[in-house]
Amino acid sequence: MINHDFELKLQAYLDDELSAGEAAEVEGRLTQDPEGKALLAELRNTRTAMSAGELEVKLPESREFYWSKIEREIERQSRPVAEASKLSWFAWVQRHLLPVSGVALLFCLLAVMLVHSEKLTPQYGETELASDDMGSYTFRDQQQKMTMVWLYDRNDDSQLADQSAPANMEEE
Amino acid sequence: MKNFRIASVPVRVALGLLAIAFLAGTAHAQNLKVEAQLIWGTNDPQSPDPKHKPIEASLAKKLSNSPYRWKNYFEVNRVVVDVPVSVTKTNVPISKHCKLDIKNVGDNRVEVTLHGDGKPVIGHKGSLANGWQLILSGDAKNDTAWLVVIKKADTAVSKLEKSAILPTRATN
Repeated sequence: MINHDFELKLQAYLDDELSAGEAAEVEGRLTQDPEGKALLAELRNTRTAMSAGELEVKLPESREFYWSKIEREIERQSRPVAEASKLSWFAWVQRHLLPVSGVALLFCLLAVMLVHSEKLTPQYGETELASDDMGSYTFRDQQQKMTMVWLYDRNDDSQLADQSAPANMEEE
Repeated sequence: MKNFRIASVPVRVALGLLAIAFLAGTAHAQNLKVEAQLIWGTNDPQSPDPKHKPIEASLAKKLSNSPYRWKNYFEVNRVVVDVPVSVTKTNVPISKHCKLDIKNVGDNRVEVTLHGDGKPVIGHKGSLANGWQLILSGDAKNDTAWLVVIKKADTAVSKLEKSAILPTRATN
């Protein structure tokens, strides 16, 4: 029975890959091993059949150019690994700080909007009098940041003519 | 069993910032410290009441540039109340005859109701944001005037509020 190693040796013998000594050794064994002889014949037939039936592939470019393309691709694939190690800090910044800075920017914008919304809040007030006998004047001073409401008795006419009463107020 | 982990540093930082923003927003919507200052306006150089003291120079300057025509202003009383959001501090005493209801409606806005001798006189809804002041005022005897200056307080709670138990009414 043929072992696997002898099968491989037969394949190598067929492909002329054995040294002279090994080839002589294989030939010597084949004279006494009909099974090996049959296997060699089968392998030879198979190779002949394959070589005869295999279609010839024509490369669109020259052999040198074809292999140089493969070489360049291998070089290209190995290059990013080296660059990645050199620019790892940049990758770290890109991965961590950019999202954080984006969120921080959003946070700052919200804070600014919050602060300014307070400043931009309209200062218009609503005044409600409890009695129809009472009237009120309202004056809003944007510069002094004051809303002044002056109450008066509608039945007391003397106040309207009073020189000491507040001026420039709007009646409500 | 695997421990729950938030793997990404940016996500952790973003969550932290959002938590800070949430806390800031919560703080923004918290208590409003309101100061109510009762002032007497007169053309006399001195107040007959030795307990009265001249108002601070900044407010005096503002009033001198306002429609109010009095030469001198004296502080009669000052109250500071801490008003939570959606809560009304009732019967805040500013004089023997006058009390205030102050409601914090949120976003630095207040609803103030002035009561005279137990009866509501006037209600006003306005903003105290950004240093804005509300002045409710009216005439008094002998060509004098009373003013209630309401603003956001930047001082500690007054002795009056510490000593008095002010009733509160939660409103929604």
